[in-house]
Amino acid sequence: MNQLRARGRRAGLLLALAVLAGGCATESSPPLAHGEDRREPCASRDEWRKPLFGDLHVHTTLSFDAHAFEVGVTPDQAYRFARGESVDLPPVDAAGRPTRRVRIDRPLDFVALTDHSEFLGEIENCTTPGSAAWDSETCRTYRSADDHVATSLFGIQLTQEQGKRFPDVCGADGLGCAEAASAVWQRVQEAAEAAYDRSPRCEFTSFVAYEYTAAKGASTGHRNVIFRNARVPFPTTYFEQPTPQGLWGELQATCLDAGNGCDVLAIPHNSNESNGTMFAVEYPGATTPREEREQAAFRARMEPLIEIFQHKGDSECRNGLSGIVGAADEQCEFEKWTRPGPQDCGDGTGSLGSANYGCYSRRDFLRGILLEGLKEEQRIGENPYMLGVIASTDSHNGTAGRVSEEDFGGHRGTDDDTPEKQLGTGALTAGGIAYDPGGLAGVWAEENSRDSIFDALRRRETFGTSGPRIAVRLFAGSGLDADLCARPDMLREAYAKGVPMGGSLAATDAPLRLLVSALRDAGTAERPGTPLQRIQVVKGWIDRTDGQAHQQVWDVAGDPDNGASVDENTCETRGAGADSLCTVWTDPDWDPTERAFYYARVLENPTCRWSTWTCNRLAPADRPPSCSDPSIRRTQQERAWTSPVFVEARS
Amino acid sequence: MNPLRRLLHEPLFHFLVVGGLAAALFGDRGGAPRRIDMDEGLRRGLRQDFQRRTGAPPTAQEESALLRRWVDEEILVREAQALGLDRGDVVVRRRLLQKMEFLAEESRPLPEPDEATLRAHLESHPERWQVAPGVRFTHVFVGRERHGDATLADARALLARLVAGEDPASLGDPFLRGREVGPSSRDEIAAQFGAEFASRVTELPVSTWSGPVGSSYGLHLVRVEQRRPGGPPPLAEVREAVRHDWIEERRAEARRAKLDDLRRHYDLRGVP
Repeated sequence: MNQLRARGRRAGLLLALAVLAGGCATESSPPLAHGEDRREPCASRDEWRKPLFGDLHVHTTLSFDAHAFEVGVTPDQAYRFARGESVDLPPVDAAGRPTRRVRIDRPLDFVALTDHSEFLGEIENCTTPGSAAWDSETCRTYRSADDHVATSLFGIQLTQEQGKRFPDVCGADGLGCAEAASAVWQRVQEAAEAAYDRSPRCEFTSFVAYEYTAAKGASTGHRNVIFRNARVPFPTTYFEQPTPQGLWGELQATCLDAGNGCDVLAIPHNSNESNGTMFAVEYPGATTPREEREQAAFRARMEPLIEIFQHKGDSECRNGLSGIVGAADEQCEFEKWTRPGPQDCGDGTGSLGSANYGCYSRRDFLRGILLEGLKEEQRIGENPYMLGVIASTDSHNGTAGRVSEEDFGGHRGTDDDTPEKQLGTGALTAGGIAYDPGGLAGVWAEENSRDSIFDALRRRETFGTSGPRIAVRLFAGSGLDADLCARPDMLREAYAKGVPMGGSLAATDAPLRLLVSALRDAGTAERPGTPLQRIQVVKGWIDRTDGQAHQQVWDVAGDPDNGASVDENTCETRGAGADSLCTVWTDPDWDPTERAFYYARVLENPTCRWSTWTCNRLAPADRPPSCSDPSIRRTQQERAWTSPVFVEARS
Repeated sequence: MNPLRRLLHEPLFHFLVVGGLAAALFGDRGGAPRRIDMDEGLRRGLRQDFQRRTGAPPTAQEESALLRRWVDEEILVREAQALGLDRGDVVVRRRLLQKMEFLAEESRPLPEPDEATLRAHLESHPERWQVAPGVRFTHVFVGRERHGDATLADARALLARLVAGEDPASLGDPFLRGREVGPSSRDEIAAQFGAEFASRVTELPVSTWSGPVGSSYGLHLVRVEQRRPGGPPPLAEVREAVRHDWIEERRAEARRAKLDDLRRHYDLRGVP
């Protein structure tokens, strides 16, 4: 059996390489071969960069869990949805027609469709009549069982120490699924190619991508793998590469080192469900500090970003966990799930996070992860966690960027297609009322093209929002002038004398200054955006004397007591806020010998949470108990987070 | 392997087609014994299927077991069909439909469209690639947050200086999103500045300073640099999208044509 498995794996790899080689050598075979990055220059190119909004985490019918819940949205349809067309969602009626039609009121600028790479072939086989696997026990169960059972049937394999493909679906050697997956992967690439606007208008960018879905011990280890252009290798899965190191290694071998223009990065997400495992400090196989350093640098290169907000909640910060010194941050109480059982992993790890069990680690949240990175930098001279920030939806409805609180329609087919299910406790995971419509990824790019956006992702000049299109910029430098917010040449000065968010700079004796500036969401004529309440700066540092990790939060612009409020019964907002905010802030506690990071958080005035909108629409008698559950927040402050800037301490 | 060939190699396909044929020919239970032929193609298919599932070819013993089982199944399938058990079964119906779709698509492989074909396709469906009219403009921002009650007066004073020829880069408040925008459509401008601003800016005269124009953030003095006419773009700009669309349309046509062809063999009553 082991021998067979090894053979299957080798065969899978060979096939992957063959597909890759084929991909490189097909100059004559359209559609993917020509014009890799041959494209018309964009008519609009902005030297000072403009904010583009997108969604880098979206599933379509090609994902085993979306398909199980009757989502039929194809990649082509998902891209068209992102550009403003409608799509149809389940449940289906007696004639097999979807019964819901949805659209977003504003198109997105860019999208990566990130279907689970695991089971691309299995789902194709199990849902294609006449396939060799159609009549297999596994496929029959997948098609006929309850949707949750069908999802778990495959999903459970992603939580096993050694996940297995199903021989009755894939054949003993796995080739049956590899072959099917390569046909699906071809369609994924064709859809991305067709959706990419290569004209000088540059209205929309698609990225070829997939989700690598490791969840050993049911602790989330998921990564979205995003490619710069149409040069892409065959997707890596948990079955061939059960560790993130294996994923990065394969991406290096099949993409970065392929010499064909392929470029790639991976974006981890839902560290909040990882029980401390996703960012555990470990360097498998390293025996010397030098080897640890090399691994840390490799990790930082492969994973320059983290997705900190989506359907399954917030991964920015969480109060009450050990290992970080500093006052509680009230704004961390935002879209958090609660779990039974022991709450703090301490320095260790736990399991079952994706089922909403087990412990939380400070390293499950951006702030703790960044602090851990600073500590590692101090210890070995290299920061493995130099992470920029994005947010996305993780929609399993193929509905990229559908983030409105007012009309959240669930995130995964028939799993949460009705208000009753949306407001329930969730069947497959904790889900239900704990879910969120998700957020958006923001980048500062010269133009809306693959190269320009991918470059922004690489240099971490990115931000995330919990849904609204708030635009925010952060620059750092001790030489930034204090009057920049009044200067017409602000951007020129900021780039010349500081580094933009995502960058790093060496500490000087002069105290560090930050230029932080935000524009509220302009909204639409029907739904104007919400005014801003304030900007905060979050600092994390390692104390020089005791080596402890510290955090502190400052309000730097706007007014936390501006009196704005929202009526929970009508969701009507009251009171004024700011249309734009800008400040140059100087760190009052500057110490150039401390390693530190700084990022900004922009808060809107309070608005209704989606569940309040949904509860309010139901007749009082029809409202489920969760509508009056005091532990469910009825209002919230939507927000944006910048990527951090990193300060290298003076020795 | 393309779906059609895969289909033709599929034992299940043989069950349905051969079985269906047999039922038609020998459906009358009172007639001669019904015949089942195990030809070499079928045996090969069973062997390959076995190898695929287990990793090794069947031994002679395993092969005869495979054949016996196949014959058993074949007899049962034919009996079931004779009893009409396949009719009214939603799953069977859906599977047959999908197979026919494959056949229709695969029986006529699509040629690669040439330049003239693509051009004609673009010209006959201009609405699919229509570009909205747009403008490119420079703006000078006067923010409500900084100017408060004096916003309008300050903006008017700045307009006078701009009209007098002062450099716009040295005037006004900084704007986070930059001072040169577009060419962008009205919707794109609305997404960044608000709907009212977008409607006004797209109507302004070219090459002259206008305003103040209100946005979601304050007032702006605007000079439209260029107007982009709406309409279909040249083929070179949208070649891939047109090609993709053309192929999808041909596929749909092939399905339709096949269906129309088949319809002629049916006497349709009481249907529109």
